[in-house]
Amino acid sequence: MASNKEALALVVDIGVGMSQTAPGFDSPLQITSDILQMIVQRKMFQQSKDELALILYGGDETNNDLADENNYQNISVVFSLSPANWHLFEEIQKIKPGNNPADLIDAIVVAADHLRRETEGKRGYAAKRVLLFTNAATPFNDHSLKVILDSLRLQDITVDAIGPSWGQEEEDDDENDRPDSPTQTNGHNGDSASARPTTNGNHHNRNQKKPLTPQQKTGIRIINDIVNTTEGSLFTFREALGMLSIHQSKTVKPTATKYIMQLADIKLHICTYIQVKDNKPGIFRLKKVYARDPKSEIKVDRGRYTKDEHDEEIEKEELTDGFRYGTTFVPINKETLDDMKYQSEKCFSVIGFSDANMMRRSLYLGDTVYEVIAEPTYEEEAQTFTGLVQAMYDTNTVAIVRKCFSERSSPELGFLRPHIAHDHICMYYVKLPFAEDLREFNFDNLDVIKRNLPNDEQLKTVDNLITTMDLSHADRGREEAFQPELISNPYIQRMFQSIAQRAVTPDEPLSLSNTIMEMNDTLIQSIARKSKRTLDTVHEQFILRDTNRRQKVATGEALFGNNDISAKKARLEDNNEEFTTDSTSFEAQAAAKKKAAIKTVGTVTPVEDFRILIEQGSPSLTDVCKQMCTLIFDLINNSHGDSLFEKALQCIQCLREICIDKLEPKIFNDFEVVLKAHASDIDGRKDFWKKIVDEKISLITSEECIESNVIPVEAKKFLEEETAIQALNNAPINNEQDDEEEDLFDLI
Amino acid sequence: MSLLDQNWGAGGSAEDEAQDENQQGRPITTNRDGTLILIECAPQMFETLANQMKQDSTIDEDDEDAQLTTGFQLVMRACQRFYQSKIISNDKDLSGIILYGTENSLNAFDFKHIYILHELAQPSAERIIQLETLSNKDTFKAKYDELFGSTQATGYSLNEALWTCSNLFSNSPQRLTIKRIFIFTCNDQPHASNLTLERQAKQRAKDLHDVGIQLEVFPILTESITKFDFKKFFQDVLMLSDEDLEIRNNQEPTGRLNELLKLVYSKEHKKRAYCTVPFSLGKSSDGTPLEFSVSVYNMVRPCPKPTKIKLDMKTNLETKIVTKHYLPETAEILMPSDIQYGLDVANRRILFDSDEIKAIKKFGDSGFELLGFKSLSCLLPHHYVKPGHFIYPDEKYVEGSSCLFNALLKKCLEKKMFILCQFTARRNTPPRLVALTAQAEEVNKKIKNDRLASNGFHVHYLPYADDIRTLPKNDTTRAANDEVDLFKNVIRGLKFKYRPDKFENPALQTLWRNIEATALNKGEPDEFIDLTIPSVENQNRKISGYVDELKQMIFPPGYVMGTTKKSAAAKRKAETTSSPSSAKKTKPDEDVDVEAAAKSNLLSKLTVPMLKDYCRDKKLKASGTKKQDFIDVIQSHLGIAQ
Repeated sequence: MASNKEALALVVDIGVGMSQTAPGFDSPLQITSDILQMIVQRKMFQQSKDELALILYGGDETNNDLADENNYQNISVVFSLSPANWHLFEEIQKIKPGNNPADLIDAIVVAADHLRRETEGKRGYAAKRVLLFTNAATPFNDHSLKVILDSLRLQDITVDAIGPSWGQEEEDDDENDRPDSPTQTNGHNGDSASARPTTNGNHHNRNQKKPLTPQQKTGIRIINDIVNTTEGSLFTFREALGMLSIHQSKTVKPTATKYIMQLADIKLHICTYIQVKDNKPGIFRLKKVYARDPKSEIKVDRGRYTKDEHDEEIEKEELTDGFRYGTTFVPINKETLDDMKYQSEKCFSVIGFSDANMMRRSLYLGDTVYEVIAEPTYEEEAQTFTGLVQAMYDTNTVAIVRKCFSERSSPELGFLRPHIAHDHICMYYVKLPFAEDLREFNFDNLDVIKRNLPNDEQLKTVDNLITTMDLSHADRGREEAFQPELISNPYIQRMFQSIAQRAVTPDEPLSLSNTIMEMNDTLIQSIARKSKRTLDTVHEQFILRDTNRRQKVATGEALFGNNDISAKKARLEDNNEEFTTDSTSFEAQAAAKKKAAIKTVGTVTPVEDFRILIEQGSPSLTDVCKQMCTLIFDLINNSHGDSLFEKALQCIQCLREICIDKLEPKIFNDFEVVLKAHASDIDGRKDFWKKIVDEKISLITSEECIESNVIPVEAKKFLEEETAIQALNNAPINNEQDDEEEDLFDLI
Repeated sequence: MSLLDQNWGAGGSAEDEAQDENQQGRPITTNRDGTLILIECAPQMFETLANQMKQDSTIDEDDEDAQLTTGFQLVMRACQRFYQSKIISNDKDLSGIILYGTENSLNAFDFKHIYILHELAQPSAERIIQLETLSNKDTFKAKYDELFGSTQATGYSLNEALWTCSNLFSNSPQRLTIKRIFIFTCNDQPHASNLTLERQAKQRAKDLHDVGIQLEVFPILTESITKFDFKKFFQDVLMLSDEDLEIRNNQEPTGRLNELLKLVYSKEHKKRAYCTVPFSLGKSSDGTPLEFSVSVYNMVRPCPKPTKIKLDMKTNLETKIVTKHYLPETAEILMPSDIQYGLDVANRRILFDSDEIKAIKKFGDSGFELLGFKSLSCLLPHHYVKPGHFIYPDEKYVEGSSCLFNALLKKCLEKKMFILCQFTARRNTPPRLVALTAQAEEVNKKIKNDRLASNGFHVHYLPYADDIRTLPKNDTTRAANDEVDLFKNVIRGLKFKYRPDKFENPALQTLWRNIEATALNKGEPDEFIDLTIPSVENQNRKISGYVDELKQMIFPPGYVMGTTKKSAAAKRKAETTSSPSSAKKTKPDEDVDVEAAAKSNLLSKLTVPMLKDYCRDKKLKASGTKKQDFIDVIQSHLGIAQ
C-alpha cells in the first residue's frame, strides 16, 4: 500500500532564454509556470501522497547542499521534497525570471542529490523522477555527462523534459527511439497514465515558433541523451498543457464485490465491479463553518419536538418508530420492525433468460452499471462462466437476475448482458424495475392531428439537419465526436477551478466558465457552420410561435440574486483596497472575511453590528435599518418557541433608539405596523406581539421625536387594540412570510 | 385498478394540464381526489345476495368473503377494500361514506334518513376496523342497529342524499382534483311512486355533473331483485347516451364491484410532467432562437417505501425534527447568513457562500440544447448513469412544437439515429449529456386499444469521462464450441418473455402488508408470493441433463461448485494479515500453505495470525494463545511428531 508514491523534482530553468519572447506571446517561463501550477493543483486535489521539490536555476539566488564558491551556483532549492501544498503553489507563482547563467547539468545533479538525500532511509517511494523545464537556450558544460548519467541510472532516477519544441521538424530520425506518445510512456506516473486525449480544441499554441539557435540544438541533443538514457520522455508545452488542463478527481481503486451466481445447480464464484457511476468527488464535501471565524465548524443539533403549539423537546428514550397508515399512526418497536422486514439471503440467482431486445434502455434503473466476471481463482468455474457469456452472446439473450447484497438489504431485480471484445469478456449488470416502479403513461399518436404531420419539404429539411449535424464521424480523424469517454463533467471542472481560484485569491469573486460548449468550442463552431443553412430552412419551414405563457421566473433569486452578487463584488472590492497585505494567507483571508461580514447586520451580534454600521455611515441609514428589520423578522420567524424573542426585542429597542436619534421615526413606525399585521396573521407569533405590548414599545410619538406625526394617544391605542386574529393553517406560513417581507420593503 | 386511478372518468387530463402550467419545473403540490360512497339501505340490501353476485364476489376463494351473504355486507367489504387500497396507492386522497334510507339521521341539514358514517377525510385504521364489524356476519347486524337504527325507513330522498354529498365536497378544506360519488343501490327506480322526488333527484344529478362531480352506480342484485335496468332512472342521472346505456345494461353488474373488492397493494402514479422545458436547436442567421417546447415525464422510478416516522411514546403522536446550527464553543444558535461552506485542500480551508455554491452549479437555464445526431450504434450498453425520462411535445408554450418534434421523430426512426443533447433539468443543476432515442407507437396486435408504447423520445443520461472507471482486462480463454452449445440449450430451456410488470418488489410488498396487519390488528399479514426467487427444482427439471453434461465436461470428478476453496482462502488471508515486510520478502506466488510448512517443520516461521486462521478453518482448539500453542495443535492435527 505504502510503496506507491513518487518523489518528483521540478527543475525549472528561469534563465534569460526562458523569458525571451516576441510581443503577444507567452514566454516559455510563463507557460512553464502554468504547467507547474496545474501539476501542483492536481496533486493536491487528488490528495496525492507524491512528494515534490522545486528547484530553480538561472536566478540570482544560490541555495543548495552542493554549492560552494565555484560550483553549483545560481541553483536554488526553493521547496524541499514533501507532498504538494499551497506554499509550493505560491512559490511557483512567485517565480521571476533571472538573468544569470546556470548549468542545466548542474541543476540535474542538484536535483538528483536532493532526491537522494530526502528519500534515503525512508520507505514507500515507487519512483524517483526529475521533471525538467527548459528551452535549452542557456549554455552549459557537459564534460562529466557520462558519469552523471551512470549515477542517475544507478539511483533509478528518470528524467523527463518539457520544453517549447524538441526540434521534431529537424530531427525526425530520433522519433523512433524516443518512447512514443506521452500517454503511453509513463506507466509509473499516475498523471500521464490516466490523462486521456481530449477533444478540446482551445489550447492556443501560445509559444512562439522560432528557429532554434545552435546552442539550443546542442542543448536539445544532450537533453535527448539524458532522457533516453534514463528511460524518461520528452513533452512539448502543448502536450503537457493538453494533458493537464482537465482536472481529475482522485481515482478510485476498483474493488470487487463477490457473489455466488446460481443457475439451477450451477454455482459460480463471481466478482462485480463498478463500471459506470456518477462520480461525486469526495473532496467536494463541504463543511458548514462560521462565517466570521471559518476555523470553527458548526455543529448541528437535530432535536425531536412535539408537533403542536407547545414545541416540547422529546428525549430519545421516549421515541418509538412507527408508520402512517392513512391518518392512523402505527407505532412499531425496533424488534417487531426487524421481524417484519423482508428476509433475504445474499444471492445472485438467475431467474431465467430473455430476448435481449426486450431489455429496453428506458427501463434501466439504479445508478450503477456493474461489470461481472468470474472469480479467477476458480478456474473451472471461470471456464463455465465464459461458456455462458458466449452462449448468451450468440443467442442474443440476457439473464434476469435476483440480486441481494446482504441479509440486511432488500433484494433487487436486474439483468446481465454479455459483452465480448477481442481482449475482454464479461457481463454488464444493470438494475431493472419492479412492477411498482413503472408508471403507465399514454400519449396520443402525434399523427392523429393533422397539423402535427410534417410535409415532405419539412421532412427533407430535418433529414438534412440530421446529416449536417451527424457527429458519428465529426471529430478530428473522422472519429465519433462527443464520446462520453472523452467529455469531462463541466461541473467537476468548474468546482476544481473555483476551489483553486478561491484558494489563491480568496477575495476575488469567482469567474465561472467551463460549459460543455466552451470546452468543445472548436467542434461546436464547425458543426454550427455546417448546419447554419439548414437551421435557417428549419426556421422558414416550421412555424414555432411562443405563446408567452411561460412565466418569467419570479423567484427570490431572480429578484434579489443579482443584487447579492453585485453587492458581494462591491464588498470584495472594498476589501482589496483595505487589505493589500499578504492576502493569500489563511489568517488574512479569515480576517478579511470577518471584517467583510460586518458590512451587514449578522444574527449573532445584531445590535453591535447595527450600531457599528450606523456609525460607519455606510451603507445608508435606510439600508441598514432595512437589514435590521429583515433580521428581526428572521429572528421572530426562526425562533423556536420564544428562544430568540429576547434578542429580537433588543433589536427592536435598538432600532427604535436609532430612529429617534437620527430623526427617522417613520422607518420604525412603518416597521411596527407591519410587525403587528404580521403577528396577527400567523398563529404562534402573536406571543411576540404580546411581548411588544408588555414592554410598551410603542410607535415613536411626536413627543419623542419632532419628525413623528403620531400623537401619544394614537400610539397607546395602537398597542392596545386587539390584533385581528385569523385562524390559519400551518401550511401557508411560508408564503405569508414572503408576502410580509415584500410589504415591508414597499413600506420602507 | 382503474377505480383507484384518478384518470378514471373524464376531465382528468384537462385538470392535469392546468396543474403543470403553474408548476413549471418545480415539484407539484399534492393534488387529491375525493370519493364519497353513497349507500342505499333499503330492506333488499339485507336479503340474501343473488347467486351470481355471491360467486363473483368470492374472487380469490377467500373464506371471509364467502361469509358475505347480504348486499350490505358486500358493500361494506368493498368500502373497506377501497380504503385499504387507497392507503397504499394514495393516502392523501379523501373519501367518505354516507348511508341513506336509515332510521337514524346524522347530517348538517337535519335531512331525515341520511346518515354520514364517515366525513370526507383521509382513510384511517379506525375506519377500516369499523367497516370490518359492519361486514362481519356475526357483528354486522348488531352494529348496524346500534348506529343506524333497527328499522328501515321509507320516503327518503336521493336528492337530499346527493345534496349532502355535494355539501361535503364544497366544505372540504383541501382542493380536490377529482370529485366523484359511488352510489350502491339495488333499486333501479328509487322514486317510482313519487314523480317530484324523481325529478328533483335527476335535477340534482345534473347540477352535480355541471360542477364536475362524477357519479357512478354499482347495482346490487339479490334473490328478489335479479335485474337492474339503467334505463328506468339512472340513465338520466349518469347522463348516459343510448349506446352507453346498452353497454351498461348488458354488463355483468358485478364487474366494477369486483374491482373494488380486490385488495390492491400498489402505489398510484399521477400523470404529471416532471418539467416542461424548451428544446433549443440553435439560432437562425438572423439571431432568432429556434426553440420548441417539450414536457418531460418519468416513466420508471423506484417506488418509495413507506417512510418510517418517529412517534412520541407518551401520546403516540407524530413528532417533528428541528435542526439548529450552533457554534460548539458558545452554543450560539446561528442563522443561515452566519454559515459559510468550507473544504480543506492541502491544509488550507477554502470558503464559499451558499450563493456561490449555487452559482457554481448553475450553467444555464433549464432545457435541452441540441449538440448533434449520432448513429444508434454509438450508444454502448454501459452508457448509463441514472434513470431516464420520456419527452412529448408541448403546445402550450410553443405552438408548432408537435410538428417539428414529429418530423425529428420520424427521421430519427428512419435513419436509426439518436439526438445528442445537453440537458439541464432545473436551473441549479449542472448539465448532463443525454441521448434521445426515438420511440414509435406500438399497439398490441390482438387488442386494438391496448397501446404498448407511446410515440416520443426516451431520454437516456450518458456518463461523463469522470464516471467511467477503468477496470483491468479480463481475458479468459474462450470456451469450446460444444460447451457453448450446451449452454445454448440451457438458455433455451430457461427462456421466458420478460415483462417489466411481472415482478413485484418483495421487500416493499412485505412491508406494506405488515404495516396493514399491525394497524388493523390482523394476526397474520396477507400472503405475498415472491416471484423473484427462482425455483431451482423447476429449473433442474428443464435443464439438469445439460448441466450434468457440462459438469462432466468441465469439472474434475467430485468438484462441488460454489464452495469456497479452503486453501485459497487461507492463502488470501495470510497475504493480507501478514506484515508488509514479510509480504515483501515472500514472493506473492510462494506457497505459504500451513500444511506444507508443517510438513517441512517450518511452522515457527509463520505468523500467529496465519496459524490462527488455519486453526479456525480446521476447527482446532489451541490450548493457549501463544505461537507454540498453535503449532502444537496443528502438528498433532496433522499427525506430525514434534
